[in-house]
Amino acid sequence: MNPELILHLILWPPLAGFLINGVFGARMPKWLVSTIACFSPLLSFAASVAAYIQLAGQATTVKLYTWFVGEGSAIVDFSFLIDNLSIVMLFVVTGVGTLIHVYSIGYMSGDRGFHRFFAYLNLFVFFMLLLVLGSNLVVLFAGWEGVGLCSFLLIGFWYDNLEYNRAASKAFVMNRIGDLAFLVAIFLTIYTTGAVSFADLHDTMTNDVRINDPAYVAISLLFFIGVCGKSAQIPLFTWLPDAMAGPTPVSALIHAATMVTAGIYLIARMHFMYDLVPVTQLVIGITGCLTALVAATIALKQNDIKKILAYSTVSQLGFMAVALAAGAYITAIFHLVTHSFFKALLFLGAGSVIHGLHGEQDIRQMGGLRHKMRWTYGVMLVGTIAIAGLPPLSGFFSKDEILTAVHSHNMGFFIALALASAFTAWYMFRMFASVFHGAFRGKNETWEHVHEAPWSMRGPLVVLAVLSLAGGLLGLPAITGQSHRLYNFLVPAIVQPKISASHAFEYALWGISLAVILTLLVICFKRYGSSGPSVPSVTPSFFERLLVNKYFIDEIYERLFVHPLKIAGSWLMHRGDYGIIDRVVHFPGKVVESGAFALRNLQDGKLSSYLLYSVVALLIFLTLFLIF
Amino acid sequence: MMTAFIFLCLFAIAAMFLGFTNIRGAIVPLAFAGTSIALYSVISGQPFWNHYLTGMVETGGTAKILCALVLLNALALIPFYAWYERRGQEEVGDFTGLFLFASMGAMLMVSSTHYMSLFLGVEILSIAMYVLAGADRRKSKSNEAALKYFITGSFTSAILLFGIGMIYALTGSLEIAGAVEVEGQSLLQLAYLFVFTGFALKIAVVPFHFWAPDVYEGTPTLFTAAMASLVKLASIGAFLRIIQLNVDLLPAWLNAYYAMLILATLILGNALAIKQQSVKRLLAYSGIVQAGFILMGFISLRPGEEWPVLFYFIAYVLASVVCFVVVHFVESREGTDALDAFRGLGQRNPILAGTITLALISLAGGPFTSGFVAKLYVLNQAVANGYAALAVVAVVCTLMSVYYYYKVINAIYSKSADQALPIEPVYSGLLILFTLITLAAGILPSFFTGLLK
Repeated sequence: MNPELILHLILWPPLAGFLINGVFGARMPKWLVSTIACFSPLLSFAASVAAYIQLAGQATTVKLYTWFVGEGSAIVDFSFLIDNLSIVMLFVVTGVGTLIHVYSIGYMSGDRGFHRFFAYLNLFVFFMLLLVLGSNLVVLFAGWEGVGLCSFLLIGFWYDNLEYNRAASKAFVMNRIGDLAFLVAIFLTIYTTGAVSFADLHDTMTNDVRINDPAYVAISLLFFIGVCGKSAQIPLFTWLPDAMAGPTPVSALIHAATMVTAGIYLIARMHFMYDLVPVTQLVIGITGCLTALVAATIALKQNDIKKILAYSTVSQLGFMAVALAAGAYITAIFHLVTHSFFKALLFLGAGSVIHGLHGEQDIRQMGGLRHKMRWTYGVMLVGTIAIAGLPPLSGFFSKDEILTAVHSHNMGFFIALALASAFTAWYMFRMFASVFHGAFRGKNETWEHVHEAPWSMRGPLVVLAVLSLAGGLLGLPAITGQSHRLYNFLVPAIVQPKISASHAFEYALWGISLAVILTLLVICFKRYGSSGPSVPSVTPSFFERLLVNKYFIDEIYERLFVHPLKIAGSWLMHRGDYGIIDRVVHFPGKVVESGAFALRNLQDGKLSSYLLYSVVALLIFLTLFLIF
Repeated sequence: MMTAFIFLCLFAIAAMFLGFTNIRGAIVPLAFAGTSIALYSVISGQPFWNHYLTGMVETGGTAKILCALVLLNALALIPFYAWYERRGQEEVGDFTGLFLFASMGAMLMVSSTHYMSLFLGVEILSIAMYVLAGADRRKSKSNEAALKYFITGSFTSAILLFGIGMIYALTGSLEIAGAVEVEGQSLLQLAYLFVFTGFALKIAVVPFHFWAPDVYEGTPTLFTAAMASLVKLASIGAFLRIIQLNVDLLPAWLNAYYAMLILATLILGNALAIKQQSVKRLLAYSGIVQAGFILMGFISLRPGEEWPVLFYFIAYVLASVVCFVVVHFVESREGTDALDAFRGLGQRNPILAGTITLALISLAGGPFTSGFVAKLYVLNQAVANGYAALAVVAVVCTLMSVYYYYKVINAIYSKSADQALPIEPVYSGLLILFTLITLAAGILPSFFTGLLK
């Protein structure tokens, strides 16, 4: 197969699925809708495998046509880049994507928006593919905007709930702030380098190495603001927990496994620029550490199962950002991949719990579910210890690698991340113990109806659990004597030294983290897994209240930005819009209208008048001609 | 090229004679085949008989592209004339034959290098169109349209001839490209002013547009489609050729002249369109405005830069053919082309509704349609040549135009209790095809501009 055919086979099936389900879905039976919806990403996945076999190692650019010619020499092609980095992303997007599609068949079966849901989901996969395949910033941006749109549509999927619509708008607005910076960054890139394709940018920036060049600093910072929006970093992260308003498969696919990692992908893709700007790297590192810590601490005190996972995602994205800041791009991608496995697993498992409890999301109303949901219990156990970082599960290796990389880079970052890892283990064990152990704390009639999920939901869970178990094999550390497969695979696309540390450090890190995690495990199960009727309530301390209320960040934003903007908006609407703009706009309208009225009177239907007017017009032109 | 003229004529005559027999079903396919052969001979550039055209007609370059566009336009419209045959109207042979003659005249106009053949082309086109304007003999409006069109046309010919005569008197030559500098330069420029005014009347730009709404309204709609597409294509095309052949000699005031016409056309054309209740009249004004936009591509036109104008032709012709054809189907069912007749079209026939909606969006310059790209190109031309202010006015006027296009779309998608309005699948297929091309040219413009360059 030639690369162009492979590309078409990867890219278009999800769009076709969207069009078919979007247009005809309402009239088609459910089995047909779900078959089309699941097979389209599956086809993309198969084509990605073909791309892996056929093209592995060599970067291939497929140009479909010249989109437009920009300012100066910047030619924007509608073209795609298949290299090892995009192949890894393709596997994540189409592989995890397909599993989540299959899961959704069971999860959404009772929803009247069944076909709409799958149409949006396919459209999302299409835009995500555009994002990871685009060979230049403009195509990437098209995908970037597209996934934002799908995210908006899916968060507000149950549109008759006003609260959900607000969450969707919040996500959209916060992303818009980032996207604006992203757009300016693209303009600035074109202005300073005259190039938009990654290959050209790479050549320009590596041929003429300028460390901390002001233009590059500005561009890289602006891109990072875009990343903050999409990958939920401080200060633009508050939309992600609210985004849990969407159906759970959406949270798993968009708000955990794929879309939110787009920012990480972007920086890895532009790594040659970030290598040149230590200033920006420092900013990214600090932001990442803060995000990892703040989100992890908030997660300690949340009671909504999806909110815990959402804050956990934000925190893990912080980890990845810090890895990027340390120049360990491949490590960040490694964690991105393993995270997509175990976080998708956790979300889908949480979805299974919510499904089994008929919509209950509060962990205080759960407990003891392991007796009734054995499969879910098993896979959630895998997911929990994977994210907590117990060897030999996938999360252990990727998190360990981040810590190793950061350790040699910046001690402060290392301490922050180590602390955040401990918090991660704590909130995950707390959640797990409260949901599955102890006694059931909800109503008795709910307990009667608790049931295990159907097989269409269990299947993807099992596959994801296997991936979470074995994902670490992708990148075993040198200490094990194995080669780091992901590093060897990605190094043609991302030039980066290997992450290594002394054996003594590795062993010490393993030993300490194991000890800490096991200690936390015991404490948590004692505290939350006991059979007591409810979690003992004591008057919350100041710090606890701070965490329960998420550091009051939403309230601060409300006071600082939203409220003043609303006041300014309403003032501008009354004074500016109605008072000035409307008058200015209506004035020419009135002039034109009265002019048209006069002219309409000329149109009297009499041929002789028409000819007369034409002669008069000709005479006017003749006179003008004679004067000038 | 000569083959094309001969074939069009032969098939036109054949169509007219077949009209007397009872195998009228063959007329439209035959005309279609003849036009296809003509198109083939234009594109392949077969040299047969070309020596008969010595010095009067050009067979390559822009002339070739314009001829091909004229014939493609004919191919797009001819299938719809079978509608008359299906309805058992006997004049189908006359209609098709006259339309083929008109297309031949249009081809002659856009390929002439000589004022004689140019004028011949104008007359062949116009006389056929006068008859077609009055095709519906039983309707007084149609008769009125024919008469108005005929008298305005004669007036136009007179002004055009006056200009051509002056050029001949001053230079002693009727070659379009031959007007070398002579004494009395300003008089020659005056002659050009007359020629241009003649074309302005034919193209119908403000303030020479008065005839157009009345004539468009009265003419049977399938022929209004021909008027809006073929006649505009031929007149602007011929005008383009005159400019092109005289590119070194053109008077300095030409850009100012364009600018005045464009300003008047865009502002007043749009303002007049806003209050129309008849969709045909609305589309007539829309055609006037579109012509004003095309003229923007003429500003400081240099050789090799004709492609924005040519691209605009494609966008405009496609959209206006779709619009008028849909109006035809609605009007033939409802008996009126008033805005109210379109209410609920979205439910009554989704294909008619969808195609006219996209065509209107294209006319308004909505993104992802050819109309958007076409407007972008000519605006670019104006800005690049220092007419940025004009471009700004043009954009504002375009926003204004969205209002009246939207009015039609709004009517189409409002609720109505009327029953379905079925049309034959061939026509649906053609309308969908044109719409797809409109979208393709909007999404992949580089393919089309590549062809035109």
